[in-house]
Amino acid sequence: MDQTRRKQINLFKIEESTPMSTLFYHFLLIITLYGAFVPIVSVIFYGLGHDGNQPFTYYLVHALEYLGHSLRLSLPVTLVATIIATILSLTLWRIDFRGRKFSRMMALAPLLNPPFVGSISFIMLFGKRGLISHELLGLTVSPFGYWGVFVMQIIGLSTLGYLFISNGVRQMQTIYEEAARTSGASELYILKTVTLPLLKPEILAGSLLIFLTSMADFGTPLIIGGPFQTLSSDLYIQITGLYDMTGASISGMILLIPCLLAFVAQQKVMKMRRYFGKDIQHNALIYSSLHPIVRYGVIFFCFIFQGILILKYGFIVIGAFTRNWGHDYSLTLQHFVAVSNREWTPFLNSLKLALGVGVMSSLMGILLAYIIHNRRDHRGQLLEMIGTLPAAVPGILFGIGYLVTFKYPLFGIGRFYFEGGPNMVLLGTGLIIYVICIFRYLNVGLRAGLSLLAHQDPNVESAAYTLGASRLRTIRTVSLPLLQPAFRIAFVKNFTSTMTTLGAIIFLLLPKNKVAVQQIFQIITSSEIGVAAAMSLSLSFLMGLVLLFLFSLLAWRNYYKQLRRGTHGHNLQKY
Amino acid sequence: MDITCKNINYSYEGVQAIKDLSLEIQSGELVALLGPSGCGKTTLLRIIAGLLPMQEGYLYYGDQDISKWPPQKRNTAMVFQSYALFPHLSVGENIAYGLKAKGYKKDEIGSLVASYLEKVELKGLGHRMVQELSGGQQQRVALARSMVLKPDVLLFDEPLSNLDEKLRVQMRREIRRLQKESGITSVYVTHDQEEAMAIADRIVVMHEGYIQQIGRPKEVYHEPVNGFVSNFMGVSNIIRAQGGNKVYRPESIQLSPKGAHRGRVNWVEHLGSIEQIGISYQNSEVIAHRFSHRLETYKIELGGFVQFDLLGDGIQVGVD
Repeated sequence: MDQTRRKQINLFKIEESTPMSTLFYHFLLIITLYGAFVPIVSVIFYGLGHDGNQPFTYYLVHALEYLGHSLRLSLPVTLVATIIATILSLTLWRIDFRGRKFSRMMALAPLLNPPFVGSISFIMLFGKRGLISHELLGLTVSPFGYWGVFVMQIIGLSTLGYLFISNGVRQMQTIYEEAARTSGASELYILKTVTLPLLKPEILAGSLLIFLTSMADFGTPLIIGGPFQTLSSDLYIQITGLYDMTGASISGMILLIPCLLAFVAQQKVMKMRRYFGKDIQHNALIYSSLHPIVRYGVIFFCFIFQGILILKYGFIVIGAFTRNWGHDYSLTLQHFVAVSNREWTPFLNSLKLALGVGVMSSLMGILLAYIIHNRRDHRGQLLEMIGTLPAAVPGILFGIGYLVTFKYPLFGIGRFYFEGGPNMVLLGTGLIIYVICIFRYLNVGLRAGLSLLAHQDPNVESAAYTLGASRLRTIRTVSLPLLQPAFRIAFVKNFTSTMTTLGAIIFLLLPKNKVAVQQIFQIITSSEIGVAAAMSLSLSFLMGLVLLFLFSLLAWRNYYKQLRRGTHGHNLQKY
Repeated sequence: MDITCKNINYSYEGVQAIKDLSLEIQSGELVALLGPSGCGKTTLLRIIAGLLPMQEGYLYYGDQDISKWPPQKRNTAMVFQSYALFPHLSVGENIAYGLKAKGYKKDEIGSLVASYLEKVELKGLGHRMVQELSGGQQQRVALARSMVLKPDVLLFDEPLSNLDEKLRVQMRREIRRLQKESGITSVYVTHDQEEAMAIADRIVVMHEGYIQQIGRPKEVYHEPVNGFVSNFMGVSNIIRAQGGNKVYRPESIQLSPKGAHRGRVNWVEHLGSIEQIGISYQNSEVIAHRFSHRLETYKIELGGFVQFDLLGDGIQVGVD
């Protein structure tokens, strides 16, 4: 298999690289190295070259203690959330029941919300004056702590895992399960012996993603962790509360270890063989002969989970329209008035940032993918690895990396050379949050581009060459149009991620370019529940509106194209 | 096991794939469902297997109405076009899969697997992973995996389309032999009329969801009931004659210096054992076959005239 692939490369490599393209290639390599790799290394250097108030071992012991907290949370969360995500994926895509389409829609809700806003509902239900804890049970103690974080992470990360694993379920070839069925195996036996073994790469990769996200989550412990804090949330406290960069860097180093391990494992898993088909109909396989207990059991389970999701997002809506939760339950619009009085700049900044990053990061990622795909040399592999690396690093840690790299003049070089040189400090400019987001989400466009290119017929470009098109013309008229779908996927993902991200940029924001998520986060921590709810509702609404606008723009463009071709109105059905 | 399909209708995404179809298949028979893509043959096969739910109509195995049964309960086995061998299991484990699912004892499974490996000429390959086998070998494993279950009904979904020509011919003989030895009622979907004629006891020609004709291979070839079947089964030369048009197959157009008909040679293809000749005749073209042996004395030339006789009465088909 490997050999034939290598042969193909030689066969299809028509044009040798030109000096210009080689120069461009190395330029990109250096830029990516600088934006994605150097900041991570900087954290390690900063931590090791320590000049803190306490001895190194003190910091180390402190970090290891919090690493223990993190693992005590993330490992069980990963296990439980993976199991839930797998059950949800199989139930929603393999069992036919009323309301499953709605359930699939519900599962997309987390995409439109910052990860920590679920804590708003948690406070409303279980807080000091929460609906359940106070009104129902008459408690005034705060149940904040390990279990609160545990539950909130499971709810959030199960949906994340669902999005990942269900994708695998949808794309998997159904033919193996059909063969097993006609061999007389029962549905549960098939699940055990065929479906799950074939889904193993998706489930493993999904669980590693859950683990990484759980390790990186600092918002949930900060808001509802109470005395229970993790390594990530402790990083935040060390920087904003104690201004201890050294301690933060050493904790960061420690946090890097499990994350990089998980990342390497994930890369390995992704290389496992998959059993995806090309044209799988989404509802191709339905478990029709399940035992009723199992069938209604998992459907009931789905409804329960969905009920929790509805609670989670429903209470944000309720909170946004309630005067003073826990004290005065009358309806009001005052929180929205408060939001609009606070000026709309944070929303505008969020939008500008997300659109800019969505376009630039996706374009750059796809460009990298295109170049890596065509080069296929060792530097290409290195480039791919470096481009993907930021995905492994918790956002807050990546942010610290930028902090300790770019607080020095000459874009960080001034720390070592040209000490008296020109004062080019990236930190403290409005630009740095764009730069960090572009590199943080580079991997999305890179992945989308590479996977599209992997399925593309290598002859298409060759065909253009043999028909007499120049290299640039080929790229413009053949390669780029073919890469459009990857751009669309990457853009939507990067846009929504940037709108809802906080970790990477929280230390780099300036008062003048503060974003909505940061505002929401600050307001939650100062317990203005109503305003926070109103703001996150507005943010979700804004995102939904923008996405709707972009989708209809696209749909309209297709419609227009069809109109010009004169094929509109004919429903060309494929048999 | 007899199979009876009664008034089956099936539609998918607003397209009616099968229209009021009834069909009886006798025990021990190998029936080929033949037709162009989109004719409903695969849909029908999957309904018989239970992989598609019955929307309207009835399906009987013997006297038993199994229309609503899940695939597991019907004692069938299916051989797929892409083999569908479990990629995470070895050859032996693949063959043992259904036996294990049905709760056979371990030593029983072992001896059954060994005997079927031998049957499909893969002795000693039980421990290989399926990816290590060639396409033809993979299809044999798929065959063994199905047959080892001693199913009441064997279903084939274009099993040979992924193989090259030579292997295809060899495999279809083998399938035919194994099927006759075991006497398992079989339904075989294909779009290749030659393969259907070679392998089947009876052929069901389908088009646009309807059965066009059911008959033995020779019947559907020599006595097609309509233009579609005639065209689909082979080259159909339409000759104008008194009392309507007649269809002649290429082998019924015999070239001879004393032939009663005359046309101009448009093209000649040498296909090894036969020659295929296109002849202008009656303002259209007829295609003739003749054996190409070296002693042939009737020379033909491109653009020259050629004479021929029409053998037999030709086929009377409805105007289409």
